[in-house]
Amino acid sequence: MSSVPYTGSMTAPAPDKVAARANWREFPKEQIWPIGAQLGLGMVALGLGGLLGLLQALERVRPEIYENPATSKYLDYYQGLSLHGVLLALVFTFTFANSFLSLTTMKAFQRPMRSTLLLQGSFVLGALGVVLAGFALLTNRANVLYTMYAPMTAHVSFYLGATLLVVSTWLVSLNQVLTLRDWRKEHPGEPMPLLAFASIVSFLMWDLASIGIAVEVLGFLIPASVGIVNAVNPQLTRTLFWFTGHAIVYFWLLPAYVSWYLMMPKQVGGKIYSDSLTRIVFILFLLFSVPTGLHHQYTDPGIPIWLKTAHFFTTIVIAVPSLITAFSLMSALELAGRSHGGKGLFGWIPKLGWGNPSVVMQLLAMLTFILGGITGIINASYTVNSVVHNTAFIPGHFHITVGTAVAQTIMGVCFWLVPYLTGNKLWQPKLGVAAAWLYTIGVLIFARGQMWGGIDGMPRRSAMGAAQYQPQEWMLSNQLTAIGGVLMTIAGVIFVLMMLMTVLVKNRGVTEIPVAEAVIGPRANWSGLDKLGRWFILAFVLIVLAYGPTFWDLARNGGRATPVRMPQMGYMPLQMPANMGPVLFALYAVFAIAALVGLWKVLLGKPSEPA
Amino acid sequence: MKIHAYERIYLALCAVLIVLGVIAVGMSVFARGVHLPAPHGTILAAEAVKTAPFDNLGLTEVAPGEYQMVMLGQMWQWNPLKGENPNGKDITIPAGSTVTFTITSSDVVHGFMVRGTNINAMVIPGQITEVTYTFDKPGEYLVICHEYCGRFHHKMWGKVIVS
Ligand code: HEM
Ligand SMILES: [Cu+2]
Ligand SMILES: [Cu+2]
Repeated sequence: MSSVPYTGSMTAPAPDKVAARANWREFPKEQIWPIGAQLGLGMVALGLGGLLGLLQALERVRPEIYENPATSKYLDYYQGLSLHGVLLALVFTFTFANSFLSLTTMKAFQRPMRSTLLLQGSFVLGALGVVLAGFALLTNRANVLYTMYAPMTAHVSFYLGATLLVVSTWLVSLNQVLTLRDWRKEHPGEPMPLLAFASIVSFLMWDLASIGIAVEVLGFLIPASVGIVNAVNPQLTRTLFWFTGHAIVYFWLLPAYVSWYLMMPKQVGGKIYSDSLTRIVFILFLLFSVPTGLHHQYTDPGIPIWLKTAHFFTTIVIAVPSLITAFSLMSALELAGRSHGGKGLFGWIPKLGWGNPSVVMQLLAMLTFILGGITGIINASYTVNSVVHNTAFIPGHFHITVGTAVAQTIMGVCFWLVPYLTGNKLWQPKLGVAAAWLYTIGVLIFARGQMWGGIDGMPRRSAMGAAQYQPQEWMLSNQLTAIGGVLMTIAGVIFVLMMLMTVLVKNRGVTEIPVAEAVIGPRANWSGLDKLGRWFILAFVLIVLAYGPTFWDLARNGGRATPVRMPQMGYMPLQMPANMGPVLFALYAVFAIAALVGLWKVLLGKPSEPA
Repeated sequence: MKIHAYERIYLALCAVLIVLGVIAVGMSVFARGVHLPAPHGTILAAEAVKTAPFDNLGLTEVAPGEYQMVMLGQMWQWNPLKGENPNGKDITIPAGSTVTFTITSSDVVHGFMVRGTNINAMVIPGQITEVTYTFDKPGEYLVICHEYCGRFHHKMWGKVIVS
């Protein structure tokens, strides 16, 4: 094996003291503010979403929260749950990915993004999306949960909002690719900085994944919600949703992996284990995230068995990069701990910086993610899925994956990212350590409660406290859910307070973006890993292989159109003016023209200059 | 490509784990006969109530110890089961009976689950769901809707009583 010496970002000049002092000036101000604003939007989503989560957890022991005359006018369990899902699974995760992975791309290439317009546009569209979706949700017009299964239909403004949120992510991806091209022109033949590689591949994966939901929303749900069509095929729209719905979990996870692989080692004073292995892991996610979606539809009546089986096998493949990750991260941490004098089998563990809130948040996130991975394999295991599908086991599972592994990592990253963006020191770091432990302990209790109930048949997405069928045996699991939920919320409140105070309290200090180096550098004799265009095409081919037969089958015998309905209206059919068709197409046209003009400006714009 | 010895051992262990998992799943299908819901035809949801077999909901004994239960998922009742609906009726069968549930939905997506069994299947408008299960143990089995189906989703349930 031959390896070239590797210094993190290959072209980085030694960090200059002056530049570091005013570190947000490392990049132009007009690019830093949309990154900060986007992150702020995510923090608001986390705060509001978390409070709704608390109510849901408490409902299990105190159903009167939603059911008494004073509150039932304003609060509906499923309205709150729709908000919780949208705010946390979509807004919080998307805005973080947008802002964090834009910044990492800039850092890796040591240059601003190609287009300031795209960067600011991403924030503006995301914010507009939140307003539009929020209007429908808050006015009880979109109690369809974040999975929006047709034929249940929401107000069109909900779907437009969701669309804009997705578009905001596409703009980031486009911007990354354009910036990569500028960089490549100046660095022919050089391996792409690993940090840039991981950031860009994460978004390329999502570009492919989001095709499903884009077709579902633009092609079926928006036309249905404005009454242009009054019937849809629910099995088809569900399949389109899950085309995106599994891979979306990797879009939540990969920004966390970027931090775990490429930043954590630096934060604990160590190095990345292997450069090429990291690249391979991200490429495996690009290839196999989407062609597995049917594992969410094992219990669907309209999907043939052989297709379910095929996706069971592709799902197993996607477990591999996560298993490799467990090894690589552990070894990176172990190397770091040993280099700080950790001895013996476990002696390196105490040396990992347990006093650093950013590190503790993420270490606990990783540990919890082991349980998340195991429960994920349970869910994916074909027949075993029948025991847990749509039971409370699933919220148990995903609160330790997206709700902890990802959410806690985001919080951990924010502990340096917000100081970096504001130029202020982190407010009360010790509180951050406490919040990390509190959240992890809370979620473990919470998840224990949910999983326990789920294995005993407790359904998910149900106002359990109000359900009259509830057997006595579920009481303990409800209590655990509530206690865990309270602890998680306290931790969340501490975190949001810390962020707020860090922004508000003027206490200047220098924070740098932690970027780790690799022990084993990129392989000089195989530049194939960097040929992103080819991997992208291969991923596309795999998707066609996995989903082509599915859609072919659905087209032939996939069930019939079913009238659409608003959930809160019971049996009443939708009553919307039928002449909305032209309005909708005019809207699409306006958006399309704006997009084309914007694209035109961006593509013709000046290439970015190194910082 | 050079791979560290520890890494190779770890990857081998992962491979073993995966192979064992696949074998276990395979055994559940081939040795224990656990099957996932498979396609059983399609139907026009708006006319489901008028379409056979859903024009005649309820339990019929098709052979000694073998029953067919035809049900309609509706906001918010597993018709004809009782749950919280005064006109509904829970069903009673002797222990050891095999029941085939044939279900569809006339409105939105529902989820059919029977607590304490591995019966778990989506009920999607336009599709016919069929699951078969042998109730060996006597007792009251809770039938639950586990997919959000509107405001009173948590009121959609019923019982199968095995005597
Ligand atoms: C204070 C912390 C939190 C609490 C107490 C909490 C509580 C809950 C509860 C009780 C449910 C289950 C509702 C049901 O099945 O009926 C739920 C659902 C959910 N939670 Fe959380 N949660 C919290 C934080 C989070 C975070 C940080 C995320 C993701 C980043 C998250 C994502 C979700 C999602 C996606 C659902 C599913 C919504 C659906 O089924 O449509 N939660 N949460
Ligand atoms: Cu999945
Ligand atoms: Cu339901």
